[in-house]
Amino acid sequence: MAESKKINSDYIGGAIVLIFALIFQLQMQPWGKFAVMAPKYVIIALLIFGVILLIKGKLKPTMMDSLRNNFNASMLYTLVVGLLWVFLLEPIGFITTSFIALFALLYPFHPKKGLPRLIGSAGLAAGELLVLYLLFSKFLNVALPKGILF
Amino acid sequence: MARQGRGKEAIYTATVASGVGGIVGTIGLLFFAVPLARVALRFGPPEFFWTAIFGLAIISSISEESLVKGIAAGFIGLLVSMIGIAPVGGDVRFDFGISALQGGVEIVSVLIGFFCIPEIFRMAKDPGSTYSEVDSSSQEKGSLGRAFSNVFGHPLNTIRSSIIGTFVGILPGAGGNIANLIAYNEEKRASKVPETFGKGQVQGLVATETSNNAVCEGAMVPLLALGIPGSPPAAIIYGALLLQGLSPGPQLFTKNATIVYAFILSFFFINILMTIIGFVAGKGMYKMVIKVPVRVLFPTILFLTVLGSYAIRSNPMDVILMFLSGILGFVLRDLGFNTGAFVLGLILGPIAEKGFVQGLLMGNMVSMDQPWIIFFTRPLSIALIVLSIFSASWPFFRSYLRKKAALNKGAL
Repeated sequence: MAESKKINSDYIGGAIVLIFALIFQLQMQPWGKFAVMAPKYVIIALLIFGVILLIKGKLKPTMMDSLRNNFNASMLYTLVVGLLWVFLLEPIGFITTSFIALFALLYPFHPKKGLPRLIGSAGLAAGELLVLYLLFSKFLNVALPKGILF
Repeated sequence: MARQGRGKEAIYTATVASGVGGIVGTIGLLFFAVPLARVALRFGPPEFFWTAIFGLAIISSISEESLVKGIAAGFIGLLVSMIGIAPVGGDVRFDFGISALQGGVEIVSVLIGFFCIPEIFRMAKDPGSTYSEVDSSSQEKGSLGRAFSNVFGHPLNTIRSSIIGTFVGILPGAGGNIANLIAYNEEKRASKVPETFGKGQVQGLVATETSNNAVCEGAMVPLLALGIPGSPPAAIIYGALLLQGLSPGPQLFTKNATIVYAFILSFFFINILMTIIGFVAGKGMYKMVIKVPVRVLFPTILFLTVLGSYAIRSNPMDVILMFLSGILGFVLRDLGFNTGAFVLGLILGPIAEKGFVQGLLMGNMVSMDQPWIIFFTRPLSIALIVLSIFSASWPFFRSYLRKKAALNKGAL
């Protein structure tokens, strides 16, 4: 039986911490004395803890299952649909993106095939959208993004 | 608990605990509004700074698996909380050239992302499954009785969490999230089985539910006694009271005592009503949700997270940040980072920074050379420092005591 691939989570964790600290460090600007005080100390602390994690990864590593083992195709699909949904929400519009995204998440996992699958997924997406649109837009007066297509 | 087939018991327990927390908070409001408001008035920037540090000290308790990763996650949370306008000085920081980030990160959106999106991914991993696979029929019998026993059978936890909630509610700017974390940590620390927390330990649920409801009544203390609305809901109630011709503040209790006490007593009624509605709706909703297949449930929850995070400020950037923070939360959790520590940093960051900078400004009035001395000289600050040290060192102390006890047992 093939052994599942293990990763050194301290190395990856340390790298993520260092990247975070560096991204924020690059954004530092000559702000006022009181605005720069806390971020400066926090970034230094993050850099130190990032390095500590890397050292720990070398000396006493914590091995974990590869992220790939915990991630399958349907999760990746949900991630992509979710990203497209949230980024296109404003330019395209709430109703269009939400209907397409809901349909895209419901259709592939529907147990039936053919027309019932299509109608079932589209009907459920439309129903959920209608109920929540009416609730938020009409009842709670939330101005949902209209975009170019509603 | 739902995974153990105890979902119904969890909902009933949460309902009873919420009702009890609210009632205890109301008792606090009824009898101690004026003296508690006086104590809150003694909280200056150094005390707020140390309160935040006390909250951050919880990281050592919740990051038992890897303290370094826990602290690092806390610092990442602190850094993210600094996006937007600086609390003192007004500089716009870390906006990455995106104007929508100038207003800062919406904490609730990030929390929704951090806790919901990883769960949505896990549901998406196996969309064909259903929750009804868990055989809960044997566990469901007697759920109501067990719920009452969970809350009233552990009075120390219930009362302590209610007091924490009430007091945190009194402090302006603090809120249910902070009360939850403190109450949960205190219960975990007091427990003989702290390792069961986060794995279906019902007392963790009692602590959080009791404290976050007591916060609501606590927030009424500075509002009614001093005229200071310490939270957005309190500000709305402030407006409602003004519309009724009532001016919240010290004179409210003498000029309009009848209306004020009727208002306070209405909290008893609200909490009883909420408990009844919680029983009926919770039972119905639980049965309904558990029957929905996962393939339908996870897109619906994702839809609700999108809508919920957008509705807070009508800002599409909040939705994007919600989702991105969800991805970050998923990766960090898989790498063994404690996401609770990140959340602590995010929530307590602004309180800590504001307290720190304002405290230093205050300190300049005392000593230009050593302005930081103000953080160590005020009695309430000293008490909070002691509490913070105790809170941070307790897991190590407990571990030492356990090892010692195990050695003694072995020697016998």
